[in-house]
Amino acid sequence: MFSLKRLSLLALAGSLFLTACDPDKEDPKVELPNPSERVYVVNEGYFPNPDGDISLFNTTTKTVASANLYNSVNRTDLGVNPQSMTIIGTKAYLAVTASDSLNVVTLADFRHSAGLHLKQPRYLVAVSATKAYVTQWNGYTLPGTVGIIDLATNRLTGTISTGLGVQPEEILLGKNGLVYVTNTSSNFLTVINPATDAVQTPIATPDGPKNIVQDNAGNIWVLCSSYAGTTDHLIRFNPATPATQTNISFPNDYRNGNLRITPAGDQVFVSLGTGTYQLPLTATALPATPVIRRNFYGLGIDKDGVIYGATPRGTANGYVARYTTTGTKIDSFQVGKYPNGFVFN
Amino acid sequence: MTAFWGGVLLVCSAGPAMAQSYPRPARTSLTDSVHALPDVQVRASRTARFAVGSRRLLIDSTALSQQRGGTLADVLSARNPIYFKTYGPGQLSSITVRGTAARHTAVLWNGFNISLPSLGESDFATLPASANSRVEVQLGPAGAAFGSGAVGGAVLLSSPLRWGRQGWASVQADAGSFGLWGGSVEGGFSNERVAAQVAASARTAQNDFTYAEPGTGRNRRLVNAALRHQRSVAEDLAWRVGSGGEVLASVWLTDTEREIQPSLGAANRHAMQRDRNRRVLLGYRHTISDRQSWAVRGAWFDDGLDYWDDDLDSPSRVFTTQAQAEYTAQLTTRLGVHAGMEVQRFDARISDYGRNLNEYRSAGFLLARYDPLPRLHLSAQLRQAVLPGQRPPLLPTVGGEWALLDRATQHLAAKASAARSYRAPTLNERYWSPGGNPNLLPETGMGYEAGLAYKGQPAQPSTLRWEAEITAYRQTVDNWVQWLPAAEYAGSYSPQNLRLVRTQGLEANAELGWRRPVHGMRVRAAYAFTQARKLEGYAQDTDPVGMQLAYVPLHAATLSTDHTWRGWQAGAALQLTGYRYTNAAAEEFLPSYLLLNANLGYTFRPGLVWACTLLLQGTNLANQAYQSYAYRVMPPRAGQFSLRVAWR
Repeated sequence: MFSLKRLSLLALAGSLFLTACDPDKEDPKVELPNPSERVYVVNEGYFPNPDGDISLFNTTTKTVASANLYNSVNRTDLGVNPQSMTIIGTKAYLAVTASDSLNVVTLADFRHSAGLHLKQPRYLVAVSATKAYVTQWNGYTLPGTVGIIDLATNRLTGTISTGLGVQPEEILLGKNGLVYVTNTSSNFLTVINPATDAVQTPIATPDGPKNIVQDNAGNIWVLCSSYAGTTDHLIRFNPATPATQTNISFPNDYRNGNLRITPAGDQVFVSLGTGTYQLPLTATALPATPVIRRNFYGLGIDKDGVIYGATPRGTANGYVARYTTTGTKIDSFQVGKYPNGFVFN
Repeated sequence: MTAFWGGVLLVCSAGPAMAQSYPRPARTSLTDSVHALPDVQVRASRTARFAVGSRRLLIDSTALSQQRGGTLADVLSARNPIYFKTYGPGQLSSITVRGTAARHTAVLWNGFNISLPSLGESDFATLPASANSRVEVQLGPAGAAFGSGAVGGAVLLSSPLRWGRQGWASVQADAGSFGLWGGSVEGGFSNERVAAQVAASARTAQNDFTYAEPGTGRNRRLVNAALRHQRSVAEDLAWRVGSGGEVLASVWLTDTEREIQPSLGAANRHAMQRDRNRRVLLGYRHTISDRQSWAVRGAWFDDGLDYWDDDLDSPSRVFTTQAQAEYTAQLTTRLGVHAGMEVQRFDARISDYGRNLNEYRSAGFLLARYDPLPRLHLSAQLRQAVLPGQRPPLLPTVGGEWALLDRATQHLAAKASAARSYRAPTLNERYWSPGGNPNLLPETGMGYEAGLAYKGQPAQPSTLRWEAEITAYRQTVDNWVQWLPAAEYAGSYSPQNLRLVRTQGLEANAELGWRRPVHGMRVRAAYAFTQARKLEGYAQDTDPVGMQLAYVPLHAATLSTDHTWRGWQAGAALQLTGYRYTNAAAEEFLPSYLLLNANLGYTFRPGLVWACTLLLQGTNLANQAYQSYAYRVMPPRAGQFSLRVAWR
């Protein structure tokens, strides 16, 4: 055992020597900018690693205050595949799909304040002061659902099925008070009356509805991109007459997505394989040329019309480029892995 | 030597009398080339003789006997700085030889490549080791000798048989931390006409240990990481027929069912994987004279890999049929040649290919060894493969060794070799649907190495010996395949020939052995410096050039010592692994770690032919929290107790 003891000492010395040779780790201390200066970037992370997080961009200093905000503040990983962040009042809700968790943080300091165990949460919307809906995939063998969350207690109080294996994704509270859910592995939207949690007649769409926005004229836009079809579609309808749809079609591409709208609801943006397009509310076809000749994995437009485009770089950190309304590049900055979207305060 | 290693051999199932009568070839040092040849030669050709100037490790029987029922990943990394990217206890273990990827190390069983044709690589956690195993590692490119995939190196497995050994048997039971239970049975018989041996093992482990969650430090219990079962049965049979003929048959069946450990923070989707591999070999060798022999061999493999979780069910199965023919001749006292050819046929039944498919591959090779002077040895190898729709390169290898010093007490040799290698695209790379790229080119490698090997012992016939070796190498791999997001389908990836990668490094080791009447000892240190960098890439490849590749430690070292004293055996090994970047941009890394493993055993002999061994093993004794693959926890300090009873 003599040699063992010696080896233990050697092990200790060796350990110290070894770690001394390791690269330096950055100090993750973070100074949070004022709420009005904050743009949050949702980074999915490199699946299945729990390295997704929220990056925080300061619009005044034009710098990244923190690339991994949640981890920096809370000193623990957010989880595997954070998909979305939704601000409700003074809180933000972070849906972490592959960790089956919904994390609630206090917006002021981004500290974890509550957590819910929910299977595969995707997107969230507050439907009243006390209630939110969250879409949940629930795998392929269980029905996709909309979970009902009590915002006072942060508990799941019920679920609404949207169909077996339909993978409910984005969710919109319409100006008419009804809630619209895109079921990505189907050809319909689920419509829910949040007052009663009752499901109404679904709205038929082309295959693969994945993004949904409502413009200031009250029309609902849905981007439909199927897994292996030949044509994808951007449809628009008046919620009062959902069967009457304006349909703009273009070739299928797995990169087609990111239907977004300006905060004022007066311009629609969509990022396709062929580029990022800006459409007027009355469009009946894609513009001839994109506003930016690039496709983005994440897209957002702030109240000043600045376009934020996110690009992942595999296992490396992704980056965000900012553009003017006319598509001129302003600047770019590095964020986390697989940035997929933006939240503006 | 023999007496000391005879002591070690007690752990390897045979009694002392047997140890002296039939010393095992595996008892030469780790760094020696293969010296002692097993009597039965019908299996893999002794290619080492034709690979002068390159480096080959022979994994010694100490490691093998202690890891009996364990996996080859444990055996290979126990006392050598060979890095395995391991996804948790009992989980996928990918080898990294000289900075290359797992698919760049060919794994051969008795001369046949057993890497999965679908993935093109081997999971070393599904290859159980037995005391019958002989394990060698060819370091550096060896395409001419071992064909596709031997770019970074090759792992050569065999289970040699010896004539005239009579009968022997042993049985062992193991119990260890975190619900580990295992057992193994080994035995055999041979006379001058027939030789047979069998090794069977089974193991199960819960792997439900507690770990501190990184960041919060909260204690958590690992879930869904159990080894449900791992079973292995290996049988070898040899039979002398007529004058100069030998028939040999071997079977190796393995079956591993394990839960797939989720990454930290991920929800448990109850992922499972079952690997079932059946391998059968039949061969015949005919010795024409002392100087000439020929052999034919056929092998049939059935490789099943099924994955399933809450949402998915992905079965796959590939059948491989292979045949080899070879001729070996010593043309003059100085010139020997070895020529042959081989044919492989793959039948893949993989749901993700969308269809069943089959494919033929063949190759011809010529190896030569020339010893122009007593102190100078040269070898040359040449192989040409034929693949459907592809033109793999001609693969030459040349090597030489010059004895600078050749005295009774000291031997110093300078050696050098240069070799070309290639890797044929795997079935997944070409046929996976969606994303498979049928136009993928073979990866090609070119490597050089040079080194010095020294051995010494005192002038008097002595029990002391020391040796040291240093090797520097550099190699490039072109058309390095990388999977990139594909334009055609959502979320799918497609492999592309994207890169030129260069690996270069230094390997050094030193060993001291001392044998006295009742005490034997050995101390060994080994170090590897490995620099692996992408030199060029195509525009679609966003990974930067000039950075150390992910999961290749720049520094790795082992320090080990083994002792025997009367019936006791004790050993300890330190494995030092430097930091590893975890992504291609070298933005993140896993910190260095140090593992201390030790073992203590005692053998007593109730009679002349019986031996009973108690063995205690401890792993990660410093209780280091570490990760081999990012976000997959590895086991804390653990112990294992084994009891072995051996007859003869």
